[in-house]
Order: sequence, then structure tokens, then C-alpha cells
Amino acid sequence: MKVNDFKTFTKKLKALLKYDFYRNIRSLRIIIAFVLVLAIGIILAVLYGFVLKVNKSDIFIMSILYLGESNIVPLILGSLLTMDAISAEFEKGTFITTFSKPITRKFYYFGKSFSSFIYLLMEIFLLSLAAFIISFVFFGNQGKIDEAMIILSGSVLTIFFYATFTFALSAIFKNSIASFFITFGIWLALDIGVGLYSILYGYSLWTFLTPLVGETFIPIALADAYKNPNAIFKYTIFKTYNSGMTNINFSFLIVGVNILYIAILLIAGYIFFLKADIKEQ
Amino acid sequence: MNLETEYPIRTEKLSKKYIKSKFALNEVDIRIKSGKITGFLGVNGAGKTTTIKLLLGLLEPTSGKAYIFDEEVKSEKAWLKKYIGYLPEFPRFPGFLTPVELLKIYGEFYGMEKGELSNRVRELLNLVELSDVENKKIKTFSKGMMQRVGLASALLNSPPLYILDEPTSGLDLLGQQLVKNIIRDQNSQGKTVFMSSHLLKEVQEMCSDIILLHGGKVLWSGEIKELLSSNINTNVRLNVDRTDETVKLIKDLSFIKSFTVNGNMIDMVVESQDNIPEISTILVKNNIKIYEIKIETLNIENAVLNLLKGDESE
Repeated sequence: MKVNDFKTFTKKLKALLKYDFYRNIRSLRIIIAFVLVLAIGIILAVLYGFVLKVNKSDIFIMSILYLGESNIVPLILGSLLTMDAISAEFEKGTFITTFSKPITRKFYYFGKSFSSFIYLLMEIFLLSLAAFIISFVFFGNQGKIDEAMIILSGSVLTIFFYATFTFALSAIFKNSIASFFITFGIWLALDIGVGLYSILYGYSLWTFLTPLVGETFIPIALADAYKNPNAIFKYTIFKTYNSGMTNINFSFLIVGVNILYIAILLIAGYIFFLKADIKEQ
Repeated sequence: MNLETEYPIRTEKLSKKYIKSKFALNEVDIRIKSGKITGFLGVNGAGKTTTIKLLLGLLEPTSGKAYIFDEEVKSEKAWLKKYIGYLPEFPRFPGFLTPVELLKIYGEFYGMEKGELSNRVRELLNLVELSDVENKKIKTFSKGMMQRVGLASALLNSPPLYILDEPTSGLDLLGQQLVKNIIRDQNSQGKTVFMSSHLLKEVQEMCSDIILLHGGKVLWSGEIKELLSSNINTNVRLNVDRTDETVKLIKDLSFIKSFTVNGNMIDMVVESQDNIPEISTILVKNNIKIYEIKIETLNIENAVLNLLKGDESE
């Protein structure tokens, strides 16, 4: 890529980021989702500290862990931000003017996914900051910021997965509400199904790698790998699952598989987006 | 890429077939002359918007090729759009943006510099008379205001070619006049304009050339004056004192296609206006008093209707 081409590319990307900034900052839905998740974060920090009287040094970690571990939170946070990333343009008929400008579909699609990730990171950063400030104000210096950061990076991957899932559906179905509810419906069905199976027959490796279900284990796996990298990864709810892999290997597997899922989802969405007719309303 | 080309828009056997439907466009060959305003006419569903979308690379042709400044149109050649100012029939913009924000974002897509872009945006909003609402969200805008935003967006980087789909649609009289003046002004600067419209009078007023599309095919293309002077019948109404005798005199004239008598009035269809002096000479020689000769000037509406009717009867 020539220097001028690169300058033009970054200028266009900045324009796309600016476009999404206005979209997000002026969207009541995103603000409500943000406030909701922020409220849950604060409530959890207070709950862990005052009601459950968790070890004070763990409060921040537990508050951060809820981001990735609780399933519904990453789904709300990720899906609400990306549900209309592509489909809104189809629904409102604005693509025809957007694509009369010198940008390709490839640039637009991947630029949009990049911008969604950037704004998700900003949201997660602000939420984490709020959880950190609350736990710091009430319970003093935590002294476990490194472990919290590891868990946070796992939560980010979990949220990115849900966001990408809805983002791809938004490009495939061209309908924002459908994208959100299909994500929600598949997640609910899989979560109940896999949950019941696990209760009856115990956990298997595929449980941890099932899309929309297994992502919730990423922060836990990373935390275990950070604390005891060479110990065997085990998980216990009702029955104990022994992976036979070290924590570090298991975390590599679960992270790698989810990065692969994200890539596959992005490409699938792109293929549909590339073939979609641009229509006027 | 050749900006000096004689035909900034050119297609070769361009066809588009949608899934489970007949051809929306069937082997269309068009050539738009540089520096001219060309009208693109056709009834609803004739294939005008499909052609425009193919020219912009928004749709892939089923077969055939389209060229902009001699460069073949492909969806991945987004840079070609730097040379086209496009106004869709129903411009839609993200409602959460103000016109200033929207035009600045579009300007950045063109790679325009910040300072230049700010000045250009102000200038354009003045031109389309939207300066007083520049900080209002587009979602509060009327259809006419959206059309003005669309025009400003098409003019943003001063491209050499404009493709305008119904540019005055949704505008009041003053708005229509404003848009027409802007189009004329751009054309006077040597820009090529290709505009679709269903308002035939507007096309006659603005354009030097037309392309008539019907059923996905080009029915006629060329200069408007050529269309109007072509071999299309002229309607003549005669008011004379002796209609019976007049009828006897004219009924065998080969250039008279048909006539009807209504009191002192004879309505005739003749081959061309050039036949009228001959008719009057014959009547005067036979002492028939002519009170009135009314020639119905052939306008574009009649000409286009005749072409469409002719095509359907075939």
C-alpha cells in the first residue's frame, strides 16, 4: 500500500469511526444498555462487599468477572451494540447514498466490525473503571489488578464473540430486531440444552467449546491459567469435569477456538453482505 | 480512465435479470455525450433505476458492460465514484446526523482535507438553502429538505459527472427552480449531467438529449430537437366556411392521414407542418374562406407517447 493510499484509508476509517460514534452516543438503546450493565456492575460490587462479605481483595475481580461469566451481560452488551450495525442501513435505505461514495463493501463491512470492537472496548473500559472505583472507594486498595486484567481480557473475548454473532446476523438477515432475538433465542436454547445435559451427564470438552455457551468459561479458564498454569483444568458444578489438559493448554484451546469462531462469523456475514442487493426504500 | 472522453457514460449490451423475474434491462447500449444534459425517460419499471445502479456498481450486471470515463464499472472500483455525483430518487440519510456532520463524513470518504471540507460544506449548505437548519438532525427533515441534502452530497467534491435520479422529486416550485439552476450552472462549467425524470416538460426545458427506455430496452435516443422534428404526425384544426367542399378538396391528398368534421371545424392529422401551406393554397384557390388554422405544436409529451404507443402496438 502506497503512503497516499494508506492516508486515504485511515481518513476513511476515521470517518467510519466518527459515524458510529454519533450513532452510539445518540442511541437511546445503547445508553440504556450501558446504564443497565453499569448498574449491575455497581450492584454486584456492593453485593459482594457488603452483603456476601467476600474477601475484600476479591471484590473487584468478582465484579469484573460478572462481565464475562454471567452470559446475559455479554449478550446484552455485545448484541445491543452490533444488532443494527449493518442492518440499520438496509432498514433505513441509507446504503444507496453511502455506497455512492468511494468506499467498497469490504471496507465498509470490516471497518464497521472494527469500529464496533473499538466502541465495545470503550464501553467495557468505562464499566470496569466504574467497578474499580466503587470497590476502591469502599474497600481500599485491591492489590490484584493483574489478575483482574487477565479476567477482563477473557471477558472482552466473550463479549466480542456475542457481538460478532449478532453483527454477522445483522448482515445476513438485514433486520436489527431479528438479529438480536435470534442471538438471544439460540443462546437460550443452547444454554438450557447444554445446561441440562451437563447436569445429567456431566461436562465434556464440547460443552466448553459450544458456541454461545462455552464463551462464559473463557475468563475462568484464563484466571486458572494465570494462577496455576501447569495444574490440570477441572470444573465442578454437580459433577467434576477433568479436562486432562493443563490450565494453560486449556485456556489456549478455548481462546483459539473462539477466535476462530469470530473469524468464521465475520467471513460468513461478509459473504452474505457482498451478495446483498442495495435497494432504495 | 479518460476524463476527456466523448462519452463519460457508455454501456455495451448491458443486461440485468433479477431472480425469478424477466429481464429488467435487456442488452442496453447507451452513450451519454460529454458536457451535455441528457434526460433519461421511461415509464415506471422501464429499467431506469436499474441502469443507474449498474452504472454506480451497486448492482452486478447479468451480462454486458458499463463504462464511466472509459473505465469498466466494477463494484470493487470504488474510486470511480470520486468522479460521479449521484442523487438517488429517494435520498435517505442517517437521521441521527446533522447535515454538517453527514457531509463532513462523506467528504472524508472522498479523502478531502479538513479545512477545504469545512468551507465546501458551508458553501453547499448555503447553495441548497439549508444553512439555517445545518445543526438540526436529519430525522426532522421533510422530503424536500432531504432532496436538498442529497444534492449537496452529490456536489460535494465537484465531480465531472452527475447522475441524478428524479432530481426535483418532492420539491416545491421554488425548490425545483433552485435545483434546475444548480444543474444548469454545473453544466455551464462543462460537467456532464445524466438525469432521469418523469416530468417530460422538465426534461424538454433542461436537456439537449434524451434516452427513452421501455420494457428494459432503449426505445429512442438522440437530441430532443431531432425527436420533435422527426417524422411524427402533426395535428391541424381548420375553421372554414364550407366544410363539405373543403373535405372534397383535401380527402385525396396523400399527406393527410385522417380527418374528422365537427361543424365548421375540420381536425386533420398531417405528415408534417410543411404540408400546411399546400392545404391553404388549395383552399384559397377554390375561394374557401379560412377563419383559423390551428397547429398543435408537437411537444415532448406527444412525441414520447407516440413512441411508446408505437412500441406497444408492435
